[in-house]
Amino acid sequence: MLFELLTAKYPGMRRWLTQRLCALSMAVVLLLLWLRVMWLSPQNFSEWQALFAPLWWRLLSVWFFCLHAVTCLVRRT
Amino acid sequence: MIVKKQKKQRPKNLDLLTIRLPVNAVVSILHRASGVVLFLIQPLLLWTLYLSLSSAQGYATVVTQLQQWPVKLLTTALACAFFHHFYAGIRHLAMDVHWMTTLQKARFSSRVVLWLVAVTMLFVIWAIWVRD
Repeated sequence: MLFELLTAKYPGMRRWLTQRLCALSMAVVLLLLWLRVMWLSPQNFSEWQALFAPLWWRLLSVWFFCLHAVTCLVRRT
Repeated sequence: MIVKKQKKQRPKNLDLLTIRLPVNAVVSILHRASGVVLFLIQPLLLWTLYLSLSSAQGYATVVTQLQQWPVKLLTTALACAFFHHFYAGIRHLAMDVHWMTTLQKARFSSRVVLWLVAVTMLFVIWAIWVRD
């Protein structure tokens, strides 16, 4: 039943689920950002740069900002 | 025929100034409005992030600009939009999994969202305007 809902037969369900999952993962990324800022508490340029330096964090940021566009587009169509 | 006539006689109110939205509708429409604001401001935020990370000089520029009062005002407004969008979004997600869906509970959770935004904004205003 669940897999049937995700087929092309029900495009609305796929859009709805994509939007919700994107929203949820954005909330998680924001929570992670908050924790990292609390944990590292950058006070100057080098510490600020170090916060955004790890590759996994950069990829997550790209993911985050792409998601935003996707969620908006998905909701409009 | 009778049905048509009854439909025509239904009272209408399209005067925006006298329409009173219930609290859950207020939270919902503010969620959408804040979403639009946050989406449109994204290029500016990304450019600021880029500037602050590009060089020590750029970082210093961002820090000094953030201490100007118009920028502080903008930051406060954006924080308000963000926290409303965040809390109301979590409320919408909760309702999607059939949590708090009766009218009474929905009204209650709407008030919780508005109070959470108010409390968070007190903290944000303290952090932006008082602590610095």
